[in-house]
Amino acid sequence: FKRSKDEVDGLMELAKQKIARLLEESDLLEKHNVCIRVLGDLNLLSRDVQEAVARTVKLTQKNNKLYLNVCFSYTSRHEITEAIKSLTEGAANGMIYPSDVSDELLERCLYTEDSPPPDLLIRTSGEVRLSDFLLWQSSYSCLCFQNVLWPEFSIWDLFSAVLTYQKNYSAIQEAREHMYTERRKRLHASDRQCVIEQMDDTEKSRINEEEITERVRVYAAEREQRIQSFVDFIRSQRQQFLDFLCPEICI
Amino acid sequence: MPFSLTASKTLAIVVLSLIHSMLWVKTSLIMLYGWLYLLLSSPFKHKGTKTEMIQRDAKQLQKIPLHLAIVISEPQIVYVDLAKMINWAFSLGVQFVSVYDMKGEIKRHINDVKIRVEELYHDNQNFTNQKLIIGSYETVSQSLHSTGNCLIVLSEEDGFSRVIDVATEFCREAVKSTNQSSNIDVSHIDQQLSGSGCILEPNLAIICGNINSLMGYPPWWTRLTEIMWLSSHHKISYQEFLLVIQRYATCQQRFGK
Repeated sequence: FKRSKDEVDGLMELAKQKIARLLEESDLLEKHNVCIRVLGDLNLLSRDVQEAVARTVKLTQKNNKLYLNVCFSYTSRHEITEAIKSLTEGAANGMIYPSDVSDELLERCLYTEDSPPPDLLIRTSGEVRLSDFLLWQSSYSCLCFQNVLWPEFSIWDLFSAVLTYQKNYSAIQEAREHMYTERRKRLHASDRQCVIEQMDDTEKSRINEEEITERVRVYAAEREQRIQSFVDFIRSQRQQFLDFLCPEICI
Repeated sequence: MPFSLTASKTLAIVVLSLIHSMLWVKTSLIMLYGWLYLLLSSPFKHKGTKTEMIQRDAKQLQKIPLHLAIVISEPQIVYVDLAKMINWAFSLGVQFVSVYDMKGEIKRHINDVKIRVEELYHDNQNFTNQKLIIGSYETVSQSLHSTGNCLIVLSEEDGFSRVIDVATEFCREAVKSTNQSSNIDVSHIDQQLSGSGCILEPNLAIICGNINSLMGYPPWWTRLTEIMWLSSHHKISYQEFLLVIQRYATCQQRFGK
């Protein structure tokens, strides 16, 4: 970490205290069905903080109504890099083909996994930058920069941010739709390319459009299966890490 | 029961519409005030047509962005005004400018942009012997690193897709030889995405238009980018543009991990 040792130690101690405090409220978490996830490079944290994190995550893992993702020891570039590394390992092991790599697949390998992208991003304290936070996920989000300092953030500031979101809603929706359309086009083109590459010259000359479409459909279904198995594998690896840190809680 | 539910829902919608109308009035008043201020102070300030005056302004800035990103979120693009803004940036000392619009309109009109920007650029005596490279991501990342200026034209396909291209390439190499993934780290990917250091990340992004989003501007690059707004690039005045650069010059950045 680029901060001073005192600052880092102070933050770690604060984290441990706050997590302990949070665990005291576990009934409240159960009542409101809150699932807490901690995203980041947990290996950089001290062992006791890692265990506290694992405990919190495992205790709330089954909840599925409200989700709180805490980014701790996190930078977006590192997150994207880790996702790319997993993809590379997957390709080396034959679990996925290099041609399977797509926007969607990479997104599913990020720490945020299958969570929908943020609709609204609020940054407090008057700074007007993202500071390596959810760069990929917030690419099409409504950005709201507010001058208020976080400890003084009130419900009125939240209302103001929601109003900004409402004001920008149709423009941002249109942008997102455009992006998803382009994504689908690229994926379809890639599937089609793969199918054509698999054919030899004699096949290419006598095949008709209908048959190609059918083959592309089959190929796409196979690809989906491959990436689903791969994504499940990544999830299980992450789960194993949590189980290792906190074996006493069983899901 | 159902009647009161519909009534309260209708009331809520009416109140919300009222709040949005008041917000619109407030934004319009602020814009009007800004416009009036610029109009009244314009006899005392120059219009950015003389390079010596611009250079004087540049000397007073504590810092100037090395790379300025202009994100056009408006549907209508006026190339004359865009070219003016780009040249003001170069004259103030910005080395790279990237222009982005999601749907790729600017890319489709790249020749138009080239002609207009080059004309203004070569009018500037200080740039007589300077090189100006204008092109898409591929053109610029393949050109040699020079001391001149550079204008990169970007669109939606330069966002996520570039990162995917890099990831796919790594996967292909990994299939060929099994010892690859340990070499992959943030700086390695950064090298790939910045055309081996030709393209730097933007220090400042100016979003033209009232949309609060980067609209898919290449996400890998926006890590430490200050994000500011201009209500429109249409008929943009030099003073308005300078105000944003001045605001950037006074902001502080702290770097953590």
